[in-house]
Amino acid sequence: MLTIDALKAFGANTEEGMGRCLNNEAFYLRLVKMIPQDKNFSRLYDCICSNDLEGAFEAAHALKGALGNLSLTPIYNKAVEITELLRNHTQMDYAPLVSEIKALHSKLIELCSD
Amino acid sequence: MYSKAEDMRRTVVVAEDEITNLLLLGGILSIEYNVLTAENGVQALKILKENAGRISLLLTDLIMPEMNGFDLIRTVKADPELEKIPIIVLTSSGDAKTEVECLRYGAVEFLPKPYGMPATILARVQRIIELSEDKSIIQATEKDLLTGLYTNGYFLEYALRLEEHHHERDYDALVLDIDRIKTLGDLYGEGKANRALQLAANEIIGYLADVHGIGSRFNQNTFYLLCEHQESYECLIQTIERSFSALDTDVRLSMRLGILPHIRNEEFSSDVMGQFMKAAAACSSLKAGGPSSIGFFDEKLQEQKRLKESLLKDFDQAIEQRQFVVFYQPKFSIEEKPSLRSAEALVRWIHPERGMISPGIFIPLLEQNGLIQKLDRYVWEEAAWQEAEWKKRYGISVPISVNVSRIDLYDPHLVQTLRSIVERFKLDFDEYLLEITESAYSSDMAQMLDVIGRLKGEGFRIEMDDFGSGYSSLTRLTDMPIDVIKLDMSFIRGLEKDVKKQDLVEIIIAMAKKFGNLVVAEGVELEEQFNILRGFGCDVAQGYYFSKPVPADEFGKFIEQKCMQEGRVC
Repeated sequence: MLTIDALKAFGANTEEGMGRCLNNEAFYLRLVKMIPQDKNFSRLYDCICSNDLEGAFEAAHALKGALGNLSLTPIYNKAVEITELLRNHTQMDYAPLVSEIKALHSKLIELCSD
Repeated sequence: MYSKAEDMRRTVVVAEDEITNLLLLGGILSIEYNVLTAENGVQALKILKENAGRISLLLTDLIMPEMNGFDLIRTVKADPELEKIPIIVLTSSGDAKTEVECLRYGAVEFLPKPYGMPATILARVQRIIELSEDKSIIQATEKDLLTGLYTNGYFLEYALRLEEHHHERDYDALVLDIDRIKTLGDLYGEGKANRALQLAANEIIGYLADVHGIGSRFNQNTFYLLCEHQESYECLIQTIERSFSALDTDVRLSMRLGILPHIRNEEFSSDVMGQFMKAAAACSSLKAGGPSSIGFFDEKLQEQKRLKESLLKDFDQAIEQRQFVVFYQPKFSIEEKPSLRSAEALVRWIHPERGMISPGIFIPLLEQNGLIQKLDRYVWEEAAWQEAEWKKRYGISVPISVNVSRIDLYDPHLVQTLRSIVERFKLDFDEYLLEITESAYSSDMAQMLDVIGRLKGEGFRIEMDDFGSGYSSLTRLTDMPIDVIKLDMSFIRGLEKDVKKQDLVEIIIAMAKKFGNLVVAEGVELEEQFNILRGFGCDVAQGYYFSKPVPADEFGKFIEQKCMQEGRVC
């Protein structure tokens, strides 16, 4: 079961995230639980695979906003990193960065599963 | 059923495809607002159209499926029904290029992601809505609906700002009145009158654009303008007059333009309305209804106005404090050895701050403002008391004449009042004479005849003052039961040099005497005048030849001389 302590252990800034949710813990946890299913994760992975950097940027950009708002700091930081690289059309091997995001994504899925 | 507070809640629309962001922002905003949500631009637009006129704010993400934020902003701003809705863009911080683009499209503010704390978001949203509503109110109320010129309050505010922002410019304040607009409305209907005002306003707006000015329709047919100084405003007047030809009426509209040129910065800043009041004073000093005219503010004229207002304010206190002092001017018999016959009581105002005030200023002022009766009564009492004092002191009687104003003649208690004064001070009627100015007789002949008849019936002697100063009618000499005519000083001035005038005076004196009236000449200043009047058989002379009006104490010397002449011991 997803808890505040588990998110803290994940590295989330839960105080800040809860603050945005009017200090309503249930509301905060409900929003966090929606993150693993965010379609922008799969879109980001697919676009990177197919070298569609524009599509990847849009997906990363959207993820960045959602992750930031909930203060899921470790994965948010990676989202910021990849967004800025993609915004600048940086040609590079995105696989290692995507792997890091995937790992954190998986961790989040695990935390959110009952 | 909604509560009143629920009804008053404003509605905002949030367009955001990222569901967590949408729920989060919607949750925060729902504390203060009704929130409608959309997951893309198309949905948002549909909601906006369905609720047109009821949406206070749109918050939109930029990257959304189907219709992105940029297209949504453009579409909203191009739609007359929606264009006034303020838009906040939900954006990632640090993307300056995108922000500039959004502002160009018409967004007013940004909410960066990650969002700030709820209180901050709510405060920003509230401020944006307030500013937008204020702007809408201003747009709806700043212009006069009929003419498109500013309404009063906004005009004065904008005039102040214009002048403040352009200190270096030389501005004029103008007040323009259009005369006979009401006549036009009465004869041709209100629509025609409004059309005239619109035509004038159109020309004013065009003119102001050339002279860096602003204007307002201040009331029905009055316009206030502020513009850079112009040497002449003839062309403005002519242009407006020409535009009136489109009205196709017989009513000849004309204008009066009052100008306060070269307004002073500091005076304008401290009292903007006061400056336009000066222009309005210049405007109202022009003759209404004549051909169009232009007048400039005259500081002297304004000073006179201020003085008059101040005197009116001081009047009651002046009566209480006995600032009005009665002077006496002697009247002498016209004979080889002139002797004192009587005196005229003339009031002077010795103001504690302004000193001696000319009766030429305060008497017409009090007449115009319905205060002269109070002063007349004061003088009547004072003169009667003085007459009684002199009688007691010198043992002889020097009749005093007092002035009765035209308005006194309409007082139903006049006869009673004067009689009671005479009785109270134990005077005879031939010791207390009444001077009634000639112009009073022309107003209501029947009324005058009645009042003067009743005064005569009591025993008073009546002197017709200022005879010949107005539209004289010689028939009055026969119609009116008067005892004395006082020739106006205009007959005497220059008499010694003007043969025609001499002929006229001779005839009037002869005629008056024929009807049994005594004749008094006023304004006698020279020995030649005295001698000519003597030759014509005039009875009495008054004027500087003998003495100016003097205070009661000083007048004593004339009585003492009379005593000596008559061999009396005073």
